[in-house]
Amino acid sequence: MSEQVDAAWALLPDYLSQHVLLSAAALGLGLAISLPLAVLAARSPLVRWPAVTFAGLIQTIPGLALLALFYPLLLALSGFTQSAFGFHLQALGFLPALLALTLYSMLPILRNAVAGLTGVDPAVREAADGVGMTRAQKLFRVEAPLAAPVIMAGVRTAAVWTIGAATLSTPVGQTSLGNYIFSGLQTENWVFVLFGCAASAALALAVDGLLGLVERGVARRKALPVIAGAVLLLAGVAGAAIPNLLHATKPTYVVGAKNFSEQYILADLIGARLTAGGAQVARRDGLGSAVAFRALEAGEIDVYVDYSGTLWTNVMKRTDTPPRAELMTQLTAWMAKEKKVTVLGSLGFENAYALAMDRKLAGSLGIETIADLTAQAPALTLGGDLEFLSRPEWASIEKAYGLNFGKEKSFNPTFMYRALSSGDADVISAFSSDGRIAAQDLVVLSDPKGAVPSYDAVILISPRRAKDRRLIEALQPMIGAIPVEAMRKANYAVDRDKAKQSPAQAAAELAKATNLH
Amino acid sequence: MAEPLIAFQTVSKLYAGQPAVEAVTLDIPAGQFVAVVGASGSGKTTLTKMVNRLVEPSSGSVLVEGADVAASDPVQLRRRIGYVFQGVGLFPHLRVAENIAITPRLLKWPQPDVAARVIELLDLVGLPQAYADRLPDQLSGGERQRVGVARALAARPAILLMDEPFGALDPITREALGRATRTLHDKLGLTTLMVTHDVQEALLLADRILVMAGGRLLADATPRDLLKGHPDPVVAALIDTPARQARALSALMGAGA
Repeated sequence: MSEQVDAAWALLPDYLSQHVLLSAAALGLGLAISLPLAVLAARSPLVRWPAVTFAGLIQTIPGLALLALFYPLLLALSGFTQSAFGFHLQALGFLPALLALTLYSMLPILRNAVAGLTGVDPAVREAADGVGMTRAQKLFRVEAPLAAPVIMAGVRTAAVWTIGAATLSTPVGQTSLGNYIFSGLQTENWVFVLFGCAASAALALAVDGLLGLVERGVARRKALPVIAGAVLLLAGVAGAAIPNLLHATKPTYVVGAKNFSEQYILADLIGARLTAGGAQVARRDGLGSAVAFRALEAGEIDVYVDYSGTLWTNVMKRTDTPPRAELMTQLTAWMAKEKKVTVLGSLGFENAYALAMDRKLAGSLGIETIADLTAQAPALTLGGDLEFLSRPEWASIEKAYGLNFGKEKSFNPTFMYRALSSGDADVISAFSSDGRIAAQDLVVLSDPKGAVPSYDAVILISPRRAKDRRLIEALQPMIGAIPVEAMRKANYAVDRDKAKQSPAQAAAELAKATNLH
Repeated sequence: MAEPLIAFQTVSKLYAGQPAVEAVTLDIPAGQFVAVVGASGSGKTTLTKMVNRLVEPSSGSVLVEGADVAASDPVQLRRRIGYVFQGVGLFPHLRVAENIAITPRLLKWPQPDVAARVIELLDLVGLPQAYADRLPDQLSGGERQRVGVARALAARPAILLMDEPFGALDPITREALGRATRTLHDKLGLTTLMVTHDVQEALLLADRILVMAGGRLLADATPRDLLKGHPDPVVAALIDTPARQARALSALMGAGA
């Protein structure tokens, strides 16, 4: 427990400073767009209705989806700018997070600013005209100061929202306090989850307090609280920016990881090997499955681990299931030719979608293969992870064996394994390298008809690193070096409830066990 | 006769097709204190606001110092015409001194001149210098309107427009402020156009009274002439009320003596 807390504290400077910079930039950009828009909207109902409606509509999109939507949008835009102007737009990381959060921050600022500006007493407005003010003078000397307290209240709301929503920028590859939450959820490290929530809440409260000070100063027309609040806020942003500027040495390599334990461990292992070779390594963690490959293709990450069967079905769009070695050969050739992506080789284990059962239950029902399930399925309940039931692999198994389960339920992976012991599910969609298979004494049902492709864990290298000898030489020893038992053990060390290890610790032990250190 | 300072030439104003002011023609020579009286909606405020282009006429023209205001920059025009607003119209976020100094500052007077002018104006409208740092909501209604008058006069305008300036004040404050305004008018050689619904106030302060109803100018005469009677029954009824009250009051005072 205290080890995990120490690990969390060690990551705080990086996560917090990135979180602060992202939120501050989004809020600043949000203000720069919303305030002029609010002035126009306050003057013209023709602008007001569409502007406020649009900002309101944005607010109805779940934060995570909004962030995710910017990735394909920027990727398409990046393709355009690359071909039209020859520069590459960052589709992953800071830019999509910034744009999504900026949109998110607009509603409270816009709504309050419009309310504040239109709420100025018409008599006062007429007096401003009557004493001979121009429109700009009226805005800056009369309307804006009178609306300022209402506008500031909106800015406070926007700041709290932005800081909260910034935790969602982890899956698009931007480091934030959300890294604690996302990696904690995946590895069941509740200390990390709580730490991330607490840190983000503390940041939001601190910023809200300082903006509250500014707001009170503005409302009472006292300069001191306004200056004090503004200075402290700027000092906080500067404090976050300075270490980032000092460490502005560009990372040599960017290592990607999808959003589950094995990916974190392998990314740590790859990172450690590159760092040992003297390279600077940056991480993009918690990427969605499709996002990760496209990011590699676009050169936003340099290396990550994917699975041959996933690439086969999702990227190559193939539905046939050739034997393991044949699939690897075809995949490697296709990737090199079509995507200029290097498949360095298999790490030596598979992480396949497999159906698993409790060993005792399987024994008593006489089930050894998926084919044995066909007759008994109507009396059994299938538990799948959140995406399994909609994946082509399941459709393929279902069809090949004519499975017709009595019930089908979806679970978060953690709860899926628990459902097996509590009897809420009889058969689950397990990952073959999952440490819980051994720990819970489960039996993995074999696939005699070969309905599911093989899932060799492979190292992928981005097109622009294809000839990078330093990278390739550092990673080459990993090929064929990790047996499935070693990977299961490392995964379990991270996933188990007691004596949990961090992915980095598990990676270090895995390296020792496989002579990769 | 000298050129009139303000001239209305068949000026009309329509709001949504309804006439608020209908074909008004009149000249106001420099130095006159003119009161515009009439019921609510008679067009008296609209008529006044057309002088500094807070309202634009639908037809006809308004001339100030012989020039059509439609051809002048409204911002510059308003900076040289004092305006006292109905209610108060002070800027609630600015201190008394800042409110008074607003037009001189817009005209970019040198700072020492502005400061001196604020001191001078506080004296002129009879407010203590200590009030300079107060916010409008720390003042009484009468004090606020004194600030309003000071603000209107700050840039030394030749013309003072007043829209129901004392409407919200108690009778004693109202009478004192009215007399103070008339004194200022005489002392500064202003040309004043004051809108009021209080006929008695108009009769006691003004040199000339305009009676309006339904957007039309029904009467244009000195208080003395109006008190002698008027052929228009609306005008006669309007003037008759204060006259009757005055007679009743003097009878009462005679009986008590």
